[in-house]
Amino acid sequence: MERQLKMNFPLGIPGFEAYKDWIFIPEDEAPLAQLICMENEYIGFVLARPETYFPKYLEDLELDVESRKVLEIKDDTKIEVWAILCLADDIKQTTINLKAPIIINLENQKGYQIILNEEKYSSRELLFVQQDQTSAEERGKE
Amino acid sequence: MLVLSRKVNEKIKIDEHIEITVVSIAGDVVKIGIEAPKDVRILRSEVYEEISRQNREAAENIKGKASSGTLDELRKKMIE
Repeated sequence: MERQLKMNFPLGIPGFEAYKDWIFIPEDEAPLAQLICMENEYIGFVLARPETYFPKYLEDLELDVESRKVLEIKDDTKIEVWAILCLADDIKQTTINLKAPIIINLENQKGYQIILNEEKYSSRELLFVQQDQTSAEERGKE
Repeated sequence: MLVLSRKVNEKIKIDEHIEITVVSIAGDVVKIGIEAPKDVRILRSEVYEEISRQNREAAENIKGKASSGTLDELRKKMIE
């Protein structure tokens, strides 16, 4: 069964600050989810789990005091990390926003798009680049 | 907008807990130090604006593409 969770974004989402309530629909098979605005179903995002293509991403990620406060996160709170995809006609051009991941607190169903101050990740990383690099390396070994 | 003149090392206090210091001025670059509680979000404005623009573009792009099969194609590629 597909999960559908009502999520509250206390500060909205940058560009859509007025909308606080969203439906979060993670998929079972693919590391994908949709985030649909409750007040306007025509506003929505496709999200992906960043660690699928950027394995070190979660290690690098540190939640600051401000985001912990917004999301009411304690040390043992279960959270999920997602990132917004920007789709393109050519799916190889799909980008993922690693600069501003969406953090979800599953216990109180609150969400927050944090913005990382470090320059390591951009808001328009190509989603499939790393994988292609890995497969190129594997091919090189053969 | 409230406009105040400050020299290097002079400060501005905002409310109880936030203090802004002009650290240095070199040409057209002003270095600013900010002391604020850790639960206050401080960002360069253009970074927030870039994320807003990026979000609007992402939301705009799924309107047509989700139905035109781009999402299905993406899903297939991610599962394989």
